[in-house]
This record gives sequence, C-alpha cells and structure tokens, in this order.
Amino acid sequence: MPTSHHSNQSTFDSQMLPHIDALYRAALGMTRNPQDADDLVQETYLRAFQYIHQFEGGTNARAWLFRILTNLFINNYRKRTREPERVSYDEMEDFFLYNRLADAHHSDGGLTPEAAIMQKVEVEAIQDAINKLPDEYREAVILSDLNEFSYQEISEMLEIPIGTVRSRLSRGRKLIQKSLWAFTQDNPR
Amino acid sequence: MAQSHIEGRNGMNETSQTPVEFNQCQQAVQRLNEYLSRELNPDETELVQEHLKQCKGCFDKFHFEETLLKTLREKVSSVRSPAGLRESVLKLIGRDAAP
Repeated sequence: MPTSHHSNQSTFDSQMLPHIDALYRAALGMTRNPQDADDLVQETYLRAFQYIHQFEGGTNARAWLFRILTNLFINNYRKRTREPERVSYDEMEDFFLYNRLADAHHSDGGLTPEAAIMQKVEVEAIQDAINKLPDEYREAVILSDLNEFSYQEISEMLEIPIGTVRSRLSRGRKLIQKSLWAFTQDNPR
Repeated sequence: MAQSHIEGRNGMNETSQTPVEFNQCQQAVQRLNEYLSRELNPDETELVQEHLKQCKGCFDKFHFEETLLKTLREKVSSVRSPAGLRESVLKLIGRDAAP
C-alpha cells in the first residue's frame, strides 16, 4: 500500500500538476471569474487525486484532467437557465474578419490582415471576445481552438454529438471574429 | 468586391469564374473549420491543400484563419495560474508543501 500511495503521488506530481496553467486558463474562460476559476481548478485536482487509481498510466493526463474540469463546470457552474440564443449565426459570412481587414488594408495601405491580428489584438480583447460567447459555444472554442482537443474528445467531454461540436465551433469562431473586428475598430493604433 | 479582387489576383479568368472553379472554392470553404481543426481525413486534406496551391484567394484566406487561431492560442497562453494556486491544491490533498 505505501508503494501504491507513493506512486500515485508521483503520478500526480509529474503528470497532473504540470497542467495547472492550462487548466486555470480553461477554467477562467469557462467561468469568466478568477475566484470561480481558482475554485474550479482546486476541485478538479481534488477529484483527480481521489480518482487517481482510475487513471491509466501512459494515457493522456491532460485530456483526463480536462474531462474532470469540464464535467465539474457543467454540473456546478454553468447556468442552466436557458437554451443558447437561437439567432442564426450561420448567416454571418465566412472570412468575416479577413474580408474587413483586407478591405481596410487595401483602402489605407496599413497593416496586412495577419499583421493587424498579430499586432493589434491583445490578450484582453481575446478574453473579452471569448467571454461574450454563449456558454455552449465558449466551451467548444476553449477546448478546440485554445487547447486543440479533437472533436471526438470534445464530444465525450461535453457529452454532445460530434455534429454539435462542429456547429458550435463554427458559430463560436464567427462570433469571435465579429468581436475582434469591433475591437480593432474601437482601438485603432 | 472581394470576389473580383480575388479573381484579379488569381491571374486567370479576370472577368468570369467557370462553374468548376467556383465549385472548387466552395468545396474548400465548406471544409474550412474541419481543416483548421485537423479533422479532415487524409483524402479531404489533400483536396483542400491542392486547391490552396492553385487559388491564391483561398490560400490567403485559409492562411489568415490559421494565423488567427495560432495567434489567439499563443497570446492566451501567456495567462498563468495565480501565485498560490499550486500550494492550495497541494494543501487540499493533504500535503503542506511542494516536495
């Protein structure tokens, strides 16, 4: 038993703890509140420690931790008061942000679309754009675009069909582009 | 407006896109999200990449979308967990200090 305890502790330290920053970022994105994010990460690690005997060594600790975090978030934090807004985001054009930045670039000879993104968009603007998304789209964007989980992994974490992952991500991406465009308009440099 | 600009830079079909080419752009764009997420199967990935080699308009747009996602990811990853969170976690699981 002491051996097993020791090895659990070592698994925890070497495979679980290094993901604390990524977990915190995801928790902050999901809860939109630093105190809740702090609590959610602590709960995630407590749960991980309690169930560490179920973790199979050699498998993906990051995915395992994110599954716990997402599950705790959905059950304990996410407001379940209403369905996501049924506005038709699909009406938004593809390449919304590119098209506008390219037009601006050609009319005033300023930054190329890519340079504009790299130079003008700050972390705060990105966080703000993500924070404005409805919960469902936010979760998909955080898991896919910021943490690069596969549709299959996200489908398991959120317990939704892959097609739903796909549509939430598509809409989330479009809405983020809209927010970032508004940000670049409000903060010309 | 944007469309004519793309055709112009394409260096071909300045005045009209043939239905086939339009269809190719459309097919690539339909796969944009899954291409960005690396969710396309190898055949479809190749199909998109082949089109991007031939169509500068789509290449520029796809490249922008890739850069955008990468930039978002990189900028956000500068956010770290607050000082003390690691210690709180260790305390929670019954360990007073980091080894």
